[in-house]
Amino acid sequence: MLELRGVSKTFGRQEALHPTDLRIPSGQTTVLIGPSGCGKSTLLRLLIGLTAPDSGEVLFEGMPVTPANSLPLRRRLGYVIQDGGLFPHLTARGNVTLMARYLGWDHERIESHLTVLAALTRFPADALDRYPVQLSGGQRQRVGLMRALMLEPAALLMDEPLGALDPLVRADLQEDLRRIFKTLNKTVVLVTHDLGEAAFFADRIVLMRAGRIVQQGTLEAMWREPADPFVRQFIQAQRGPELPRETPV
Amino acid sequence: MRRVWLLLSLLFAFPLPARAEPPAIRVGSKKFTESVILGEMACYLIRDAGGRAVHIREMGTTPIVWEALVKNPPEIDLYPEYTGTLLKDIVPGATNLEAALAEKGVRISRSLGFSDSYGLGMRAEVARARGIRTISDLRQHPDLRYGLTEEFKERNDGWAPLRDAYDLKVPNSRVRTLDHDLAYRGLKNGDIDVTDVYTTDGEIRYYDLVVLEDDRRFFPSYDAVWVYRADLRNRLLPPLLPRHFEVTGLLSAAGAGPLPALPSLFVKEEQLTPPVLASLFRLEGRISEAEMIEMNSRAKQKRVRENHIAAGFLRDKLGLSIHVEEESLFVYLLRLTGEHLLLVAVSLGAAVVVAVPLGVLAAKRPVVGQAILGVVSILQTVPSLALLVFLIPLLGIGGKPAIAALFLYSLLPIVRNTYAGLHDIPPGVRESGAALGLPPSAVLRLIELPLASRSILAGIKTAAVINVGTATLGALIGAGGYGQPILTGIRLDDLSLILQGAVPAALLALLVQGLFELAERTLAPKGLRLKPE
Repeated sequence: MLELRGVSKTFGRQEALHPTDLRIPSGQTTVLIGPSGCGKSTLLRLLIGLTAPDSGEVLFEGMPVTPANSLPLRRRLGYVIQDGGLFPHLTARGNVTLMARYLGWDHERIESHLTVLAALTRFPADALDRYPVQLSGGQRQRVGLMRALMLEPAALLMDEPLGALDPLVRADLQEDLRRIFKTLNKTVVLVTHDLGEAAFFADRIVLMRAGRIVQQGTLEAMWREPADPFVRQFIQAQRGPELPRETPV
Repeated sequence: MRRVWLLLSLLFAFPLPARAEPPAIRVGSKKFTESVILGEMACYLIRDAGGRAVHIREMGTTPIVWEALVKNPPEIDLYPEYTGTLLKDIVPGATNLEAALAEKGVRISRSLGFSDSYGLGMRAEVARARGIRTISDLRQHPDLRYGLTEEFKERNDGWAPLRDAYDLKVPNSRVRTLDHDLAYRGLKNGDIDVTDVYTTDGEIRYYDLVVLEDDRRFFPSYDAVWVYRADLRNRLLPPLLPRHFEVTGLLSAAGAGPLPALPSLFVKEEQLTPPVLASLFRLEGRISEAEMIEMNSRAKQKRVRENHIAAGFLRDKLGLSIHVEEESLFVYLLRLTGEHLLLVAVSLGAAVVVAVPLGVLAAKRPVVGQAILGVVSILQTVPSLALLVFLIPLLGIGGKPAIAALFLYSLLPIVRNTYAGLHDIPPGVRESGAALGLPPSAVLRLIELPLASRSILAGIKTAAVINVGTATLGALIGAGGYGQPILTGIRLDDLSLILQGAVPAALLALLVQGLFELAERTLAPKGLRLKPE
């Protein structure tokens, strides 16, 4: 579905991404993970064409992405960022339907899509006419998701979509997201720095460090056969809640 | 958004009111009482001969009025001037004044009867106490403080050559530059000791001043004259008239005895005097110095309006029957409001149309943006008076240069706020638009401009409020508006006149501020006005 061939990117003197090859398989959830600054967000932005590669090419359904065709291609990809990136001057409805209205969809089609999406994301219908400042963090993220899905994209790209939420809301939304991914059977690329979240969503994990892909595959494979000491260290560094050890009476 | 454009296009659809229709003769006057009175007289004389006349009052100092006369196309056709000023400042060193002026396309009348010289004036009691009688005596009193008008300081017959001619050792620190009318008040209050005066000023008697004797004969004589464009004569003659005159000239010459040589039978065009000019010349030699001082004094100390003074004099001296038209205060204020609003609306409207795109460009192209912001910031630092005067050679006097200056001043707040409004949009929001697949123009129109709209409106509000205040300066260059009564009030030391301009200007500024705040509340997107719940 999406593919990078020898793609690299440099910002100033900082090499954000070394020449990289990567294939994103259809209908699966791929999670990009790694420490801050490892290049995972850059990689995602390259996939949707918000950043142009210095070398190599990005392919979408086998076709190279160029500045000329990036606009129509972006309309076939849904993109969600950390705080939702909602337009504050538009209502939830206005945010979700902006692009469809721009493309001249008729009213019935827009409304039916919106109804389906609100049900899918469990977004209350009466909140559709509220403005972003009037919505909770979780609701804002659901609006961001609806907006990304409105044009029925071929793939969904998410950059730390749950990063700004408190743990309970986050767990709630994680459940919903996984259900949605399975229901729609979409190609999903999700960026996170949380290994638990990665394991929860991923069919495949791509672990990055300092602008390079270190290892890709399942979490289990990484656990059993880490490609280098960093992989082992990264996986072990993530800890669950530690309970005080019971002391014998 | 569409409504805004409609409003703006309506603004531009209104043509500027023409200062004068073609057949009217435009009379100018300088920014002092005597000149205004003479200007009024010129208008009455022209009308008495069946012509149409417009008085462009209080245009400014000599260079401004002279420039308005000689430029092409001219702003005015004639104005009262003084021979000394012409000799020293306009055609310095000319031996034949008439010939020198003719080269510039200007003619002069004979003296109107009085001369109004420059002089140095002091309070009589101060001069007496110090024993000062002549300008030479000033040398013995280096501690005196001088308050001089800008024009006098700059002129060829002004301060610097006078100081040299009399060997006065006056350090610059003891010389202040003042408005002529304010200088008298400074003299009265004892803030200054010596100022430049016109010898026909009513204040000389009113404030009990003495004019120091010009014992070295520095100042030339300043006979009051009309100066008018040479082409005025031709313009005033109907196209057929010269032929007619040729025939009568021939006939009258033929009846007067032996036939003269053929060429001299024809009256040359330049020897003909159109009735309107003839009427103006009726004033030659008719105003005595005492009469002029009396008229100036009535205008300034008794607060009689210049048109009444001029009309009264012409009635008494020349037997003209003049009906002085009075404008009621309400109509007067309405007219000023109209003029003021026109200045503000046109300049602000044009500034919005130009500044918003410039602000967008500044936000989108950082390098060009810094240049744009730099240039509009520099424009803002140019003193308004300097900018107004600077624009006169380019645009003439009146509404156009004032509107241009106000336009330039309005740019910075709008450009800066448009830039800031766009610049402050969180990158995530902007990028979300692009990621959806909206082209940049649609991102700008549907997302960025609505988000920046509050900031842009605030910028327009700032510009409008500054604009209303600055527009009062437009009166200095003949643009009218609320500045006109302020200017006249300062000249006549008349607080009620000053308030007639200052109060409406302040009220208008408040009204504009209020309207824009209302607009911000109703036009800015609702989602931006809500508080988080």
